Amino acid sequence: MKQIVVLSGKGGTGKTFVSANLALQFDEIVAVDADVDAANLNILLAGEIQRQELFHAGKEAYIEQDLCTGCGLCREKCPFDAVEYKENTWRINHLVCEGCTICRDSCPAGAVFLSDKVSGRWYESAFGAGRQLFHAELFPGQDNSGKLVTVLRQQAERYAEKNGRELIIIDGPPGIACPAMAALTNTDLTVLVTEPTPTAIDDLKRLIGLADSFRLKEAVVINKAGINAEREEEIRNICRTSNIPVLVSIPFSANVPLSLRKPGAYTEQYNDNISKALRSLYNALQKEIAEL
Amino acid sequence: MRIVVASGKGGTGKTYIAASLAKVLAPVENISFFDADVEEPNALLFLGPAFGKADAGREVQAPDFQEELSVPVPSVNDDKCTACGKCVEACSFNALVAIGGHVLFYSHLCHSCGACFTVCPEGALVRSERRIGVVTTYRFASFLFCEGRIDVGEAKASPLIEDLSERAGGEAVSIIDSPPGVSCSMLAAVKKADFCILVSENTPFGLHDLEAAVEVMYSLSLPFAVILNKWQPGYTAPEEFIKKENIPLLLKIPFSARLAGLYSKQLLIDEFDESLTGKLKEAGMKIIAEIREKQ
Repeated sequence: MKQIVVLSGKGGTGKTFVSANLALQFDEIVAVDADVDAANLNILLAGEIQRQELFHAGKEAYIEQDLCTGCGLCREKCPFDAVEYKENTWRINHLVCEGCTICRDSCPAGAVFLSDKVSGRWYESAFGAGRQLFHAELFPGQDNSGKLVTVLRQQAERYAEKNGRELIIIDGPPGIACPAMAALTNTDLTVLVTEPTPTAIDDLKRLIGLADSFRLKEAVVINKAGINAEREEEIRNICRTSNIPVLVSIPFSANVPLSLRKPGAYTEQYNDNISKALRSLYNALQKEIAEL
Repeated sequence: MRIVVASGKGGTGKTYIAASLAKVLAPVENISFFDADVEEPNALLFLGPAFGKADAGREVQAPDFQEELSVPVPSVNDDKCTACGKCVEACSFNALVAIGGHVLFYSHLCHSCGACFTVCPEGALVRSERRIGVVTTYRFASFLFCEGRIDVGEAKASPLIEDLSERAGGEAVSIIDSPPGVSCSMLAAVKKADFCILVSENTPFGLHDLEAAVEVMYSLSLPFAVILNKWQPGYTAPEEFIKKENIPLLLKIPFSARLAGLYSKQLLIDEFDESLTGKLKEAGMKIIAEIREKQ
């Protein structure tokens, strides 16, 4: 079984568009939406939810009002500034609380307790006979997005093993920190989606640094090609120097955002040079996979 | 005051709009800019050239100062440690583990809460520091620019974002460029905001993530408004949502190949359209006036 992760550093370069249009060209595949705080992959894949589970991660404190004497020591001790005084009561702001237990351990009245935190929900969906998707929503403002990504990936791996699927494709989050690292660890190939803009190139360089530190094989997709020839050349130079293949370049077009209004593959709605690029991306990727 | 530009979805144009806003307001207000998108800090690529401190290319001249940001973490003094396990028990994040008579510390799991220090009976935990990134400051002629940049390989960005948020505020009008998403990083950027501008795009992706960002605004009781970017006709769901929720819509910016080209040349919105620029400035002034009225 091989795992491919699609990342970008900068947001909005087209990770989800590329991931969905790749996944829909395979008859058998397991897809993972690892961008758990902006989970959009199923908007295009339109999978039918077969299973859903709550995601528990960490703990959160709460104050039992009947026991609280109002001394305010918890507020003084809280390292995260999570204790608030509102409407004549001391309360824990659950968006800020990290569940460290210092308030509980320092409360002289024993009025602070900890409970399991429900941070999100994950889903298993089918988007075709041989195609399965694992996706999730992290509840707004929650911590632990990296852990949720890990849960999704474990579920996807288990499913792939059980059902003999050869390929997992992971639509990653933007950035380079915790959730991005959780998405790319132990994968076989990182597909870096970039665009010919200085911001995307800056982020691409940082991402190559991260992928290199994980000793991962990389490949690049240039999206929104045509808006700046000079920057496109810069991307190709970076790829040449770092020995990273450019799989395809997808032209800039108003049709791409328009196509997102309907689920399904881009090629079902349009037959243009972008459809062509998406097909050649599939072929180029197949070649890369064969070499892994 | 703090005006935070956030989005939910990545790549909707947060940085571009935040930088454009800073540029149009700089002549009339005391502006400071904080790039809190520390995993991918890009605002300098626009504001450097815009404020003349850059050379003709992409590199900006040396910063005025640069500080490393570290978080407090424990380190175990093996000579004093009896491996009693009290710190292991106190740590809610599994960052301390007792194995074979030794306590091991996994710094990437540590939340710097300090609980371990308070319980160690032997004084075996020493306060130590771990660098997570760098804060860089540039003094442009008309305003202060400050950027956080997390070290590659570092997992937890929120302490760096909180540090930037602390530096912002005060008398100046601080414009803060938030990271994307709606998890802890975004929260760290918006929680002290006086006003948030949510930048969305006119697609089902944009709407889905805007809804999540709006939920964060409600749960923190933050005043906010929306800018719809990359707008193309024929899809009205985002505008219907904004109307239904009674959210002010500040601006609609059209999807445009010319604008994408300007973006790729590090040129801001004032080079694109005069009337749009005027509206952005007006919206900014109105937000500032509203915040002042409340203060």
